[in-house]
Amino acid sequence: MNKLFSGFILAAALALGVCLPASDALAGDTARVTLKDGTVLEGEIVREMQGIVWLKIKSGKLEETRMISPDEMKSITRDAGATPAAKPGEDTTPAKDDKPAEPTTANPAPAPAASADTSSQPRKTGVPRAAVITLGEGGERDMVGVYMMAKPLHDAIPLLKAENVDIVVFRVNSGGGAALEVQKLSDVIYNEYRKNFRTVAWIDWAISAAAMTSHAIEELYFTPEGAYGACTAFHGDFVAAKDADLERYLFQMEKISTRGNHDPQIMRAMQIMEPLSATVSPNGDVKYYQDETSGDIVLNTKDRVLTFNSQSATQVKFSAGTASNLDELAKAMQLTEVEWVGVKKPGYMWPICKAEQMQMDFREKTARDEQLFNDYVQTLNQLLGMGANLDDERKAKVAGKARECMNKIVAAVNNNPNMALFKFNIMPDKFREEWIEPTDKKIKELTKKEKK
Amino acid sequence: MIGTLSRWAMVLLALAGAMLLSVQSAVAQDQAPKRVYVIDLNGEFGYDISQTPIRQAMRDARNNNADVVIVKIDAKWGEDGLQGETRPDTVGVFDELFRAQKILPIFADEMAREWPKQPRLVMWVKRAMGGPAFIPFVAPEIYFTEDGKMGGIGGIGTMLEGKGDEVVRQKQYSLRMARAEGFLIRGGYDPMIIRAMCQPGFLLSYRMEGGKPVFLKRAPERPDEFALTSGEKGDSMQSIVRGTTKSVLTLNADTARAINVSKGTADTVDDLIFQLGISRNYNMVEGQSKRYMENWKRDLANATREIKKAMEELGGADGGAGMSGGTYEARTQARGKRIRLLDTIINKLKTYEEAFGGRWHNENQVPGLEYFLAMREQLELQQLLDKK
Repeated sequence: MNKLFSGFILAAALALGVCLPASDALAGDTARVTLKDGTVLEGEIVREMQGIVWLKIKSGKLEETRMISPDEMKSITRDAGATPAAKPGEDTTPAKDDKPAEPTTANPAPAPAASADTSSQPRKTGVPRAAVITLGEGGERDMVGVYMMAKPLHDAIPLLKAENVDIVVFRVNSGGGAALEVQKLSDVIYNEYRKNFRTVAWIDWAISAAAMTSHAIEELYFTPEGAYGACTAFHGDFVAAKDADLERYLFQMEKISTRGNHDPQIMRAMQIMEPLSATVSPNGDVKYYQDETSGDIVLNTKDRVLTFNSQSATQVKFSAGTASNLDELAKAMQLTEVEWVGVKKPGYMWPICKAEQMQMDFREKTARDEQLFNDYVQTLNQLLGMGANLDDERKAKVAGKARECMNKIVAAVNNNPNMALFKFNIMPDKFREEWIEPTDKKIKELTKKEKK
Repeated sequence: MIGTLSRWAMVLLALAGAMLLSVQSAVAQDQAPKRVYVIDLNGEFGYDISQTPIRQAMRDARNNNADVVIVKIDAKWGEDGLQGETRPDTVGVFDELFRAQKILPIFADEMAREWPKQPRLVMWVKRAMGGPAFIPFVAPEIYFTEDGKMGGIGGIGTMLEGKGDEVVRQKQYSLRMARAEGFLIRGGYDPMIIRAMCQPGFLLSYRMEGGKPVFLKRAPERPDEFALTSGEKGDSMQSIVRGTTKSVLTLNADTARAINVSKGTADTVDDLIFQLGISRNYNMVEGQSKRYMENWKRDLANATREIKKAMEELGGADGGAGMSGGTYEARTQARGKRIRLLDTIINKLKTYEEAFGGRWHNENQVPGLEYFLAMREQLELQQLLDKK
C-alpha cells in the first residue's frame, strides 16, 4: 500500500514536472555550452525555452546573462545534479553532451518565473504568449528620454507577468534623443526584461539613442524599411562629443555591446567615422574587421557613419530576419504557434496588451503636458510677479490660479521625471527641493496677510 | 461491402463537386471586371498633396471594392519663372522625405491593415520631383508618362556643408539615407537607385543580365554598361539649363524603364489600363477622390482667409477697444470677442496643421500656434484680475 502511494506521488510529481516551465525546472543548473565557432561558455542556466538557453556567465566581478540560440550552439553539457525535467523521454542524465534542442511548440517551456496572480489569464497549452511593446511611436512622439523612458518600461513588467507573457517584442520607432536615458533603458531591458522574458526587438526606425538602447537585445528583427545606427553623440548645432565625453560614450557602448552579444566594432562604426567590413563564413559565422579591406562585405567606409538597413543587417546576421507584420515576425522567430496578447484595436498592427496601453497612455500624457508645459510655466511666472500690488481678493484669485499651474507642472513631472531636466535644468531627484518647495513658498507668500 | 464502397464513392463525388464549385467561383471571381480607382495627386506637395485627402480617397477606394488603385502624381516643382522655367532637377530637397513619411504609410501599412483584399497598387508618374519622388517606390508597379520625371532629392553629402562637425553631418546623412533605402527595399527596388538619386558624387552604372539590371558602383567599362550618374559632385550650367544633369540620378521614362523601375510608359488612362493587361475587362469606379482633393484645397483656402480676417479684427482699430475703460461688463464682452477670434485662429491652425508649414506661415505672415495660445492665456488672466 505504501509502495502504491509512493508510486502515485512520484507519478504526480513527474506529471507536474512536465507542466512546469523549464525555466523553473532548470533554474540554478550549470552548463557548459560549446558554440559553433568553438567558443565555450560556462555558467548558470537561468532560462530555457524553445531550444534557446539563457546562461548567466561570471567573469571576475562582472556577470552577464547571454542568450544562446540553437543556431549558435554546437553542444551543451549540463553539470547540475537536477535534471531538466521539461521534456519527457529526453535523457536527463547529468553531465552529458546534448544536442541543442530544436525549437518546438510540442513541449514548450514558455513561462518565466511568473508572479502568483497569473492564473487569471487563460493559457493555451503549449502555445507561448507574446506581447508587443512600442519604444517610441514615430512622428512627434519618439524622443528617447521624453517618450521612450525606462520608468514606464519598468512599471509595465507586472502587467506583462499578469498576462502570462513569455515573449516581449519591442517594436522600435524612434529617431533618438537624450543620451542620459540610454543606460537606464539598457539596464531595464537587460536586468529586468531579458531575465524574465524572451526579449526581442523589431526594428523599424532605431536611430542614435534608440539604436543604443536596442543594442542590449541579442535577438533583432527588422521591418523591410528598418534602419538602425547613426549613434554619434552631439549637442547644440551639430557639435560632436569629444575627448573624455566621447571616450565615455564609446566605452559605455562597448559594455552594452557585450550585453547584446554584438561585436563592439559594429557600434563603434555607428558612433564615429570608423570603417567596418565583415566576412560570413560558410558555416554562418560572422567576423568583423575595423577596416575596409579585410572582410568580404564593406559595411562602412572610413569617411562615413554606419546605419544598417534591413538588407545589410541581414547580410551580416545582425538582423535575424525581416518581417513586415506579425505573421512574418512569428515565422522569423521560428514560432510555429504563438498567442499575441492584447486587445485588437482599429489602426494597430498588433493587439494592445495592458503593458503597451500603459506606454501609450504615458506618451499621450507626455505629449499633452509637453504642449502645454511652457504655457503653465509662463502663466505661473506672470501670476507670481503680479501679486504685490493687488488687494486681498485678487491675491487670492492669483494664488489659486498659480497653484493650479503648479499642480499641473508637478503632475507632468511625476508622469515624466525628465521634464524637470529638460524644462528647468533640474535633476529629477532634486525637483522637489529645488522647484516645488520654493514655488509653494512663493504662492503662500502671495496670500500672506501683512501685519498692519 | 458494396454498400460501403458506394458510400465512399458518394462522398468522393460530393467532395469533387464542392471542389468544382470552388474552382468555378474562383474563376468567376477572376473573370469579373476589375474595378479601377484613380487618385490624382496634383498641386503643391505637403500642402495640396497631403495625408488627409489621400487617406480619404484610399478609404473610398476600399469602400468601393477597388481591385486596382492608380495613383497619378503630378506635383508642382518649384515656382514657374517669368519665362515659365521650372526648378532645376539638381535642386535637392531631400528633407521632404520627412513630409513624404506622413503619406507613405497610407499606401503601405495602412493599406495592408485596412483592406480585406489587397488591391493592385499602381503609381503613375508625371512629375514626382522632391518629396513626391519617394512615394512611387512604395508600390511594386510604377509607370511613367512620356515626359515623366522623378528626382530632385539630391543633397546627401552636401546639404549640411559648413554646419558643425563632420562626424555629425555624416551621422545625419547616414540616417537619412538608410530611411530612404528602406522604402525601396520594401517596394522591391535596389537601394542603390535611391543612393544615386540622393548623393551627388555617387557613381553608378548598370548592365542588363537575364532581363534584370545589375548595378555597378563604378563607371561603365564595357559597351553594354551604361552610366546612370557622372560621379561628379556638380553639373555644368549647360546641363542644368537643358535638364541633362548627371551628378544625381533623375529618372525619366526611358531611364526608369531601362532599369526596371518603370514597367511601361503611358500618357492616358486608357494606355495605362491597356499596359496593365486589364483593358478587356474593367470598370472605372466613380469614386469621391476628386471631390476629396478639391474640397481639401478649398478648405485650406477658406481657412487661410478666415485666419487672416480674424487677425485683422484682432489687430484692427477696435481690436483692443473696451479692454481697459468702460464697465466691467463691457470689458468682459470685449475680451470675450477677442477670445472667440483667437479660438477661430487656434482651431484652424490645429485642424490644418499638416499643411500649414513654415512656408505657409511666412507667406501669410501668420505667427505660430503658441503665439495665439499665449495671447488667449493673457486675456484669461486679465479677466481673472478684473473687478466690477
